[in-house]
Amino acid sequence: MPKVKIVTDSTSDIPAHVAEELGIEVVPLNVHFGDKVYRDGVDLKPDRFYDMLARSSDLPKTSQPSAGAFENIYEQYCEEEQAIASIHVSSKLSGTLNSASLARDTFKLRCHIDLFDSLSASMGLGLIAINAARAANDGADRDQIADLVRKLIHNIHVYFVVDTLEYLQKGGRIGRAQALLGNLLNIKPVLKLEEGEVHPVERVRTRSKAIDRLVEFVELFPHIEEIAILHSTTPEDVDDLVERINPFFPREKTFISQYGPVIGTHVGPGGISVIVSQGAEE
Amino acid sequence: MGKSIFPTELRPTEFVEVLAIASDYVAARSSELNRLNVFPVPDGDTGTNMSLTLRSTVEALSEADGTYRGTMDAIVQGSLMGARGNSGVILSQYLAGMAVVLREAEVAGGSEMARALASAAQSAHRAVMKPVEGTMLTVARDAATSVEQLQGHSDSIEETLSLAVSAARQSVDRTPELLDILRQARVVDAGGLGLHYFLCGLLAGVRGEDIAPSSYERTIDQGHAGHLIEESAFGYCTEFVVRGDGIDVEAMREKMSVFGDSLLVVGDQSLVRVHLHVLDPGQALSCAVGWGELDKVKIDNMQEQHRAIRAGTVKSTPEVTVAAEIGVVAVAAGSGFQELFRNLGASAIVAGGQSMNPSTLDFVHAMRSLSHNQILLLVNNRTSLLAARQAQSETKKRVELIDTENMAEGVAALVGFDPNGHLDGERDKMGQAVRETKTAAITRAARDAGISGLDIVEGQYTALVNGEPTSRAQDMISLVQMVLSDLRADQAELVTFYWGEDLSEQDEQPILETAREVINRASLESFRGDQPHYLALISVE
Repeated sequence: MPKVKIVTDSTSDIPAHVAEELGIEVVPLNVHFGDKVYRDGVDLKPDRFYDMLARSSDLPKTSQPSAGAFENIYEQYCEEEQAIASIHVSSKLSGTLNSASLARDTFKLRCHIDLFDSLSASMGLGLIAINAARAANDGADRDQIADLVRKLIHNIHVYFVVDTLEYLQKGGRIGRAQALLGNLLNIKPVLKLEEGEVHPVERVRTRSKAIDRLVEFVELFPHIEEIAILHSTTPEDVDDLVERINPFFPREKTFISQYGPVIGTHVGPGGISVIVSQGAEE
Repeated sequence: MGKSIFPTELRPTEFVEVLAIASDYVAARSSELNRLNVFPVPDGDTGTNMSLTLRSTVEALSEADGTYRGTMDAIVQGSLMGARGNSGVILSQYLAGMAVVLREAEVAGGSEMARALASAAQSAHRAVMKPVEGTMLTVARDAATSVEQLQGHSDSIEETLSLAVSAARQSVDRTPELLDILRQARVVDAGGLGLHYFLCGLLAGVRGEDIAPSSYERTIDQGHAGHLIEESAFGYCTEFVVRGDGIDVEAMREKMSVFGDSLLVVGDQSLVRVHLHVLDPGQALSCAVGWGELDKVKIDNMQEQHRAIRAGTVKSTPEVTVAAEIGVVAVAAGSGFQELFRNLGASAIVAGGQSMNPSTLDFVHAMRSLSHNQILLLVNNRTSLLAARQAQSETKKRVELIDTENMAEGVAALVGFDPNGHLDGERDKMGQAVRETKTAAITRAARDAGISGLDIVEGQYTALVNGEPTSRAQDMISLVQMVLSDLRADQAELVTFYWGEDLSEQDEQPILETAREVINRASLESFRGDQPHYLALISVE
């Protein structure tokens, strides 16, 4: 029985070499800069993206992969008795899952395709795909993978800080955090993903207090299986966080990554997140 | 993709609990409903009437016997007896209609609820001599229609209610199109919204969700202008082109019309251009994607423009009806500071006046004016402490005093405030925030003074830290340099200047430039507090 193929999308921010090593297929979303359309992570990589972002007066926009793009991918890996686990960014943040669903339901494919709404994004999604791929490579079957994915979805927590809510607001993904808008002072928001969308956690006055909060969140967890730390444009903050989290979770096991263009579009420069996975035990 | 985690059907006792939750849900929003009223006499206060009707119904259920027959009979009795006002009476008939169906049930599942909602809509309709479209009746009917197909087929009461709630919301939003008086007043129908909330409450009960409107949500509520016509301008102006083969333009138009409004679908079988205003552009796009390739996708956030307009008025204090939340009272002088404290979430401001010395009575009035039973009081001036303590003992409400030295400390305290937190926790959090912030107050000596070993000459600039003069200088710039040095601004992350009314705008720049030279990596911000007496308040964090 061929092993389960893991498919995810580019909002997962999985480092390219990791995806390749584990055999994860990453379907790219699209980034629209002016008239041009780029496939996230394929035509446009983070460095160039943040450079363009800094120099452009227009904000980029993002769009989900087409059903056709999914169909191509699914076709590639589809054969009798094959199963695909397609794990994607929260349906409240993107229509990606819709495209995947349309592809699955519209095109006559010969394999089982299970779709999963991660209710998360960035490495919140990425960690799920990575663990699913490891399990698949170890010979887990379709049901085992589904079980693992569902458990992880409940046990992964995403906290993040942005420099300004402007990008989330203009991109339409600000969710419940819109309550933090309208401040007369320049207040830094601390945010999280909950139930698949952005929620406010707290207002703080300075960026360093906001980053303090991220460390405090990590301290809340009695058991941590994995941690990922991501940034858009401030790697020095990542170093600082890794250092301060080291007593609770070793830096060697911490995933460090950078927000890709799609996530970067919605978070903006100066974004930083800590993602904690409690693992798949109940 | 996974089993539903919500209950699929309710036993009689569970139904009673869910109904009680729905009653609380409507009650928590009754002020909002009251504010929407446009019809002069007939209904009086819709929110109050519907809440009381529901409460009577729930009270009548305390004797319920655990069967659907008994429970439903109690509902009919209770709601009839407790019905108040036009909307209350219609609601009681709505409930009676639901009861007719449910009293024959063993359990209330999705199918039963779908039939119950249909029966409820009919019953409400019959209750009114001259049924009018654009009211509760329309919402009831639209909700019922949306779940018609589930009457024989639903597995889950959550599914039925979820659809009904959605349909009710859309129906409420359309009421101004049906009734002129609503359109002119720019509001939706209060009774219709109340019914929608009732259904939301049932759904929340089934899902076990929190029913209180969060204060974060309240912060954006602009009073009656918050709902409604403006809402149809919310969403995204979405445009795109679809390229394909044999596109059925008519079918596409029909499909797209479900997602939003201001719809334009133009083209032929190989190229179609679509424009619409939609709350979820993803839905429209992923539907379109089934017809071909998308191109020239353009999405604009229409809400952003509204927000920009509204930002000019987002200073009004959010009205809170849930007593469980904490209210903040802040002493503030200067129009800028007063606005800032409201903006940060203070529910009442006690005007500080020139000397920032409100009386005990001023404090008592402020605390009584709030519906909250738990209050945090930002003193913002040491000399006000005594009067504040006095007021604390004059009220039955739980009041914690935050002993802030000046308004800059008050701001630091209020930034991280969570109205849904616990009083003690919030008090401690505020205390911690104040300790982490260093502040200084700059003033000009009115006369000679010798305090704390400092000889101060009239006209000199003096800096006060923790209420004590710590330095003085002949000019503002020198003083600011000394203060920033004393407060270790070179190691700080944020330095904020709050300008007083006696400091002119021209004087701001030179001071800021001086500050920038002294500060290393810190951000520098300034705000016009327009406070009397202190030329500037400086906070270093």
